[in-house]
Amino acid sequence: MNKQLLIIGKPHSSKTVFITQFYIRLQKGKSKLKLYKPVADLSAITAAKDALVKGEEPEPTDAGRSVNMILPIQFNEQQLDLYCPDYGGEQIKTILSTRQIDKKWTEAIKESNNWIFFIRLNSINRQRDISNIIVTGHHTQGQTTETPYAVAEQSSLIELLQISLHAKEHDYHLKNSKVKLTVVLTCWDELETKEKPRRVLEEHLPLLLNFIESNWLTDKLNFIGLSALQFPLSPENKVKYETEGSENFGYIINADGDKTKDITELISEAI
Amino acid sequence: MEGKCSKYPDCPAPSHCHEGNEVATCEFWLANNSKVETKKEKPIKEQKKSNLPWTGEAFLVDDIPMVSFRSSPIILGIVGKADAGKTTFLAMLYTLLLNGKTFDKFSFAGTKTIIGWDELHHKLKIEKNDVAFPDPTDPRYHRLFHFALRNREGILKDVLLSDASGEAFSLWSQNRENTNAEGARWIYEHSHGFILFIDCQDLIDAKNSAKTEITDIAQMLKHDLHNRPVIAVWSKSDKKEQVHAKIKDTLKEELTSMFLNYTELDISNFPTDEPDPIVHENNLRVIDWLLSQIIQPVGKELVVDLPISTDLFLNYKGNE
Repeated sequence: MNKQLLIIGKPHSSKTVFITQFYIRLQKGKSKLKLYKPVADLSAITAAKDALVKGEEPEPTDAGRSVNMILPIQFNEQQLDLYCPDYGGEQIKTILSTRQIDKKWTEAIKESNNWIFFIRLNSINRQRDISNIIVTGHHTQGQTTETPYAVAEQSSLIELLQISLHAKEHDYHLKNSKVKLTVVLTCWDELETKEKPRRVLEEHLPLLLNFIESNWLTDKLNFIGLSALQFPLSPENKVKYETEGSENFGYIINADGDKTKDITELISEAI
Repeated sequence: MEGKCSKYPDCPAPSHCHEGNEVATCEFWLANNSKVETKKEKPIKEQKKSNLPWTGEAFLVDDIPMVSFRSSPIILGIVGKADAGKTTFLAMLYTLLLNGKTFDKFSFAGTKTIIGWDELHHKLKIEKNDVAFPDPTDPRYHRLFHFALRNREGILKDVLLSDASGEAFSLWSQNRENTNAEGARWIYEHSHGFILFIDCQDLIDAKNSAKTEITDIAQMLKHDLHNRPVIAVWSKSDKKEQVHAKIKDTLKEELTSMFLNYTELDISNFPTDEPDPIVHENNLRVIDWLLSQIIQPVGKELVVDLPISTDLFLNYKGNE
């Protein structure tokens, strides 16, 4: 059985753009990697592919659709499957809301020892609470408008990892030495930062980072930044895509903060 | 008669109406059939059962095996009268962790009660310039919140923090066997260490009578305490200045003389500065201090000092 690289990400964590760009690069021979066989089902990325050719921002995947996406990759002598069992991320949402993990996910988690965890930091609102502002009288004397409970994104990402570790039958007594976890901070260009990816995660989601580092051995952890598009597809940038092809854009930032123009390098970061 | 027209017994209503009306508007039909249909309560759509062993909600006592199978959890009892800020203290702990503050000697290795924690945190969010604060804890039950912590050596410790209503403690402080003080009793019996709440606001408002209530609870705690550590926290300490000096000093004195393994700290939920130690540091230090008292470091390895002798027999150390 081939090594499986599992992509885990909530809806709108930019999985579509990455996989589509990744596929286009492979197809155009713009990568050291190759497909070892044709992709059986491309329907998940067809629309996104068409959009990128025209320099348009792909529509977010309809979260209701649940399509398996497997890219069969030849990496040196090795055959790998980049596996995204839940393209729209709908099942991830369901896992979190119903607390039910289906068989397909359990199996995918069990079979993969390389998890790629997609997080789009820019879509996460920073919540103000009484610990991070100076509260004055008017904060506490107004009528208390009860806002409906919504789980904090950080808590839900931690729970998602806890559920995944549970499916993997992880023993918390020991730090994880079996599964390599690559945290991918997507839409890196939106973050407008020069910091290293780990530092950026620490700034935005410190408890998630604390949880991860508390449960994984350092050499089984990697933090990278990914910008699959390189920039937002504004009208000027649209022209660049139309004339040069989307495969010439996008980059990743490795753990040391170095930039690589080939997004398919993400595979060598994750294995 | 239900299902029949009230005027014409042989009226074929509801399919047709003798009066030529729509059945729904015919007064003779409605006379017999206008009873509001009492719908049978539909069974709530059976929720698909979770196949995870934990719910994420706060634990009840029966849930403890979910962590005790892997380690003996350290139980920290939070003790104090109503409205002293016990639940808010818990909300603040998780809020501080979410904001990147950490325990001194432990990293955060997870929690089985993340939804419970997150719901508490939600109450400290500022929405439209407003903070809700946690609701008073239901006196009918007591809950436990879980942290899995990992120390520097990589050893996992499960910690459970209790959350019981203040009423239970007030009843218990007057009569240890009070039937409505089950929560307080359980916490007293099972905790490895205690956080005793002193409500500064209450001391300002009710003065000596507030103080007496605290010493009553403390007295009860002292009984059969053995060497279990107690930390007194002065909650709402942003107002501690306003507590009458005499009350403050005598209370401090009394508590110090009462307990063997004892310390105290000031905490608050309202930072007046960034960072403000009584908010951003002390809330977490309360837990740090208790854990440092409960988890005793393993003693030094015994070093056997062997006398050096010229005697070959006495110098023999096996196959060394």
